[in-house]
Amino acid sequence: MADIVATNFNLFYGDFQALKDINMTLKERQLTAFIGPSGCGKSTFLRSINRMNDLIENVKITGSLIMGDLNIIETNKLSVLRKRVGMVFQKPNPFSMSIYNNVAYGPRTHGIRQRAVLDELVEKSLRSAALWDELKDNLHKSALSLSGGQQQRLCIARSLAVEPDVLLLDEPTSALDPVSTAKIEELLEEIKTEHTIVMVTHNMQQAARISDRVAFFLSGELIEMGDTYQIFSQPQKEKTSDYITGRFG
Amino acid sequence: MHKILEPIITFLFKIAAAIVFLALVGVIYAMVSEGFPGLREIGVWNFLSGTKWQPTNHVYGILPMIFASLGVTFGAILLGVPTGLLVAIFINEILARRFRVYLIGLINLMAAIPSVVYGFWGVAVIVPYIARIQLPGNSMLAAILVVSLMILPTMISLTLNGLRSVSADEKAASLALGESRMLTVWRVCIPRIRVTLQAAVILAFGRAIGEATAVVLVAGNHVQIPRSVFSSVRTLTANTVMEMGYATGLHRQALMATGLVLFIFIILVNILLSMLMHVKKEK
Amino acid sequence: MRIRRVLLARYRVRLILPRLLICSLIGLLACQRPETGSIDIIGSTTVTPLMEHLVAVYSETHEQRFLIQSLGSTTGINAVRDGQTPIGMSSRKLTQEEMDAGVVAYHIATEALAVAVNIHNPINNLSQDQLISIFSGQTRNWNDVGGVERPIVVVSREAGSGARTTFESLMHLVRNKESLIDSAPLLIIGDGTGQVRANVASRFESIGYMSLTVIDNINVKSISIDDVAPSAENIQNGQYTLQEPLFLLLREGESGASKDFVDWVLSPEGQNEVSRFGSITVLHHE
Repeated sequence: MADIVATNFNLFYGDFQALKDINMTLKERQLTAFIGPSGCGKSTFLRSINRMNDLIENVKITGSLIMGDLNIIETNKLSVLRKRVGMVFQKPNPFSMSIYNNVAYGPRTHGIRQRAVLDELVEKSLRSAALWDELKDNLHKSALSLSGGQQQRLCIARSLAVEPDVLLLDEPTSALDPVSTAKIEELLEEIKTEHTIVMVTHNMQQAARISDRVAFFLSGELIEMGDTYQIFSQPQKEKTSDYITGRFG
Repeated sequence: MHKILEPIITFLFKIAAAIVFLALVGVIYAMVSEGFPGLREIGVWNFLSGTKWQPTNHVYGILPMIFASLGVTFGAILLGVPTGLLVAIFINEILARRFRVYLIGLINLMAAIPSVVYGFWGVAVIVPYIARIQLPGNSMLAAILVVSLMILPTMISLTLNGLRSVSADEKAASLALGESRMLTVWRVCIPRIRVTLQAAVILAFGRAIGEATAVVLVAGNHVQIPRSVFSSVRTLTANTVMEMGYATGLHRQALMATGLVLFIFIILVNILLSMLMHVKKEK
Repeated sequence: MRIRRVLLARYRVRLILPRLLICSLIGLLACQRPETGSIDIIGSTTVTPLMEHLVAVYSETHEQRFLIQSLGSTTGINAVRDGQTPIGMSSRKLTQEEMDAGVVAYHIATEALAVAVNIHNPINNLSQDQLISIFSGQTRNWNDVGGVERPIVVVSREAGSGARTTFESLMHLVRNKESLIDSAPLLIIGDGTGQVRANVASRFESIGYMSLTVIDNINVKSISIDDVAPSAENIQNGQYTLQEPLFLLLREGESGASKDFVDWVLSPEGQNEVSRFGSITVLHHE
């Protein structure tokens, strides 16, 4: 595992510059929250870390983004990158397959075929997501039959099954009820000792609750980044304190 | 105004539905009313297993033609379904966006081309090529090639529509786990649209087994059990097309009975496929 | 009622429903009868080309339109018999049954049936025995009859065709009421004269029979039988035996415009047009 270091990172959608000169370090085994108003670039930057922006046409990137020995921007081995850097999306998106096959999908992608090994990985991942006890007798049920909160935890389990170093989450609880949200926050706090977690959130209380570090984005720029406690109690920049106190959203 | 319009339109819809229903009933009635007596006189077993078709002698055996129809149909499905699937995947996943419209337009054009034109093309292009490998050229293989081309547009459009309906979210999830684009399509999209694919195959099957015009031009039309794909064969539909014009009496009843056999066969295949669908769903 | 609802609920019906309605409406509108006064002529594909020529000439001097439909001799005979058309065309003689049913045949011309091979085939003559052997599938290679080493592909008409009936009976290719042509190993059946010609034209190894008038000597050529070529002279003096009578058919007792036309065809003027077209005139009138 290693820190993720962004240096002079810029991103353009065609002529529009979505990210301006980002310089930051995402420390390993910590939970960093990205906050900021809609359209400020936090999701865009998140997606750059596992190269999901490749799916969009006309994207241009300059600068560097490096994780230990892996040059994220330049690597050709996307499969390897995405094994090390997993992603959970805003809306739960389980495959329309059984629960077991959902979790086993990732390992199978990376060549694991033996039933016994898969069984073990599935159990381990579902336990990490606090789903094992609930679902262990129903692994062959369709994933679509689960509730929203369960589906999202399943997606987290699915991402964990490939044993990534990093987990990226793009507003993972914004579509869920408070109970599910609480369960997921609990989950993230548990796994952050083993993983580097980067989470985009609109919910500042959530950021305050579970993150170790916070990065505040505005209009494509990184305004301020620091320890959670410091950002929320003593923000250095005026814009940061304006956002946190709700002067603009 | 609307008060008057509503019942009128509803009535029109009911009439339209009734027309369709009656048309179907009419077709079935015609086949059964002439086909059944024919079958009784010829004998169902003689009819289905007889190897000679000689209307002038009142000998009516359709076994060679059953083989021919099955051979052409399944050959066309084996060739056309995977090809259609791959083309649809190509259009949806590989082709640059800006060309999509043109290719889809081309495929729609293919669907609009009349069967007889495909037949002419088969005679002009396919048959001579096959003749070079093995005479006579007019053969079951020629029919298979032409018919598989004819079912491609159906396969491609339906599959394409299905693929487009698969949410980008599921594909994104697969990619985020490290899977490649093509394998994502294979592992996520295709299983997702299983029902659409089955409908497409059933439709393609119906088109393939019912094709007569193009087949008459390229299949050779010799009533014999095919010895290989290069044999000149006559399908059940080609036979009906060639002889119905002047068939009378028992000959005509025999042709109606042929239609009945085709009809029953298609129903059986549909039921079989529906059953398979249900079994998989329950799993 | 419930059954109907269940059947209608199948998605297939819903898809076809509006389209079928529109199509049937259009179809009904389009189903106009041909203009009153137009006379249908239905029957043999062999007679059709000659008939088209005769009708064109007749229409120049007479106020009468005709609609020719090329559906085969047997279809034409049945159509006249059943009253579906006033005039029919046939390239074979009527059976006793058909005559008893009130169909009258007028012999208007004689068509020679040519045995045709591809223009590139070096063979120009075959004996009747050789032809019988080829068409029944016993001789299978061109080099058995003096040609190159290639398999023979037989092209024939379908079972109800007048040309086939004539060919089979004159060539003695029917045994126990079964056609020997069906035993040919490489057999293509063409749906109509045009199909047969096309199959001979497109393939070097083909041999088939068709009316002499469709031989174009560009893609197909006719061969002599027992050294008798299908020339006008040989046909008229009967030396060339492969002849097809062409008939116009009327119902017994028919009179009016249809009968007038048939009379014209049999008149010296009509027969002149027959020979201008290239068919052989009848030497005597009915």
